[in-house]
Amino acid sequence: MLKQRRSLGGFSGKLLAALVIVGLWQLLTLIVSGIELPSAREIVSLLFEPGNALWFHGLISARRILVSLGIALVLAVPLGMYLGRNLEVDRVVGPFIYLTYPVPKLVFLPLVFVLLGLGDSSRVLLITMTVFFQILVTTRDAARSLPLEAVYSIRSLGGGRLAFYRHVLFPYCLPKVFTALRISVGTASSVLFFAESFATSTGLGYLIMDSWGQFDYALMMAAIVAMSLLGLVLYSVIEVLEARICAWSRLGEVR
Amino acid sequence: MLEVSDVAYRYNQRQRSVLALEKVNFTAAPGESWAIIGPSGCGKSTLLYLLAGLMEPTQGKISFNGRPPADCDHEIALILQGYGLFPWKTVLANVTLGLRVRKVPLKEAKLLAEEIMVELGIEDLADAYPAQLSGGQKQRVAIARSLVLNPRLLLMDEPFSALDALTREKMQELLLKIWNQRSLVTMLVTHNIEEAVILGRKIMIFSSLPGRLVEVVDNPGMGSTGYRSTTEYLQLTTYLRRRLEESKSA
Repeated sequence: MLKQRRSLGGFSGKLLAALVIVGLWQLLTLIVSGIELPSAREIVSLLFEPGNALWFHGLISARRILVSLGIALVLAVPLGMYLGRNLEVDRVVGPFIYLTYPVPKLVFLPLVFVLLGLGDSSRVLLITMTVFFQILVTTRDAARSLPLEAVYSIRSLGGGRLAFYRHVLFPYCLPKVFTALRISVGTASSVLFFAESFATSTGLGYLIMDSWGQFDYALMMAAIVAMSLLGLVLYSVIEVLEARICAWSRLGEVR
Repeated sequence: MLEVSDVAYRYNQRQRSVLALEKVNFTAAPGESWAIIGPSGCGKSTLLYLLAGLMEPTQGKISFNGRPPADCDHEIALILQGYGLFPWKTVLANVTLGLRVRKVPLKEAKLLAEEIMVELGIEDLADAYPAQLSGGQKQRVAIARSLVLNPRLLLMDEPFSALDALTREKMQELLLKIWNQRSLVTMLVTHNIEEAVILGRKIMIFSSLPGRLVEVVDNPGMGSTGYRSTTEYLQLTTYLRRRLEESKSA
């Protein structure tokens, strides 16, 4: 069996980093004067307080991110693979991607609200639009870089188009898709905060802004930590999935 | 029977057109073992891809047992220079892949694969990934992956070029054993003159670009015991070296 390696340090390294961050925050609460910053203990106890609003809003935010990532994956991965292997089509579609990819999707927030209303779907669309391009461009570039020998190899075994996509191109692109996904989680969290800051009464973004407006800094900080934890949990889940599914891709790594 | 009549192939890349092969004619009978030698870039690998049905000749005709290679399905197998193994699949999954894409049930495919893996001495590597194998082991897996399809024509593109001298000799012996056991047409592209003499009953010499078939040399002693130390072997390697130099300068 393959020995799986976690990137960015082991569990003990992560625990140590978390303790350092908590310590630094505690230090900050002592140094900063004029504003009453909540202590680390206060924030942690709020996070685990049964029946508080954090879990309710946190689950809504998690659902929004997961649905957006799911839609973006389902659309971007097949399209990216197809464009990467069909240069004629990519020559037509490529310029559109080139022009639209660098545009910050957040600027479309008012337009999305006008078109889809103020519900969940507009916030999900905004996150999906941002993440979609990251996964699409990464997958397309990965598909383009497939060695010709791999194409000859599956064809010489009698594999047709479906076998090529299933047994060769998809597994070849998968490590790159996971990388894009991990990067996308950070981007998605930022867009989520922005999308939840307007015209809604649900989600962690709303909770952060609302508690800030009510000078409830303890809840505001707890919501910020909850949002960070949401990103962290998603990142870790993707990392574990990648280590399980793409263990082969790390076999040649020099440690 | 493999028949190649007046075959030419031209690569068209953007504004560049290169004639890689020209006027190639030969016929290989069942059970014959052929080696192809020639200078680098003379179209040897291109010829192999044409024979495998991966590309269509620009001119001329290729047929194996009366059909174009692209219609021969499992009758033709190709072993690529870099082995062509998929790093995301285990050894067993690599070996069974050709059967799986032909809709052979998994259980049956595994049985057939295990049989051939025992024959090639790689049965213990079933769960390993290609990155965990040595060059010789990868080559055995590549051979197993081809042989499990029970082909009638086995094409090999410099299969032993990345191996050390001892492993290369072992693999050559293995290939001779396979060739003796199965009535295969084998077609081997190699840079190595000694290898061509060891493995080719007939040896094709190609000229430099565009690749033309300069000569087909008969090698009746091939496969006999102790052939490497015979005068016949030495004379033939010397002759081929001279002919190759001539074809290079031509």
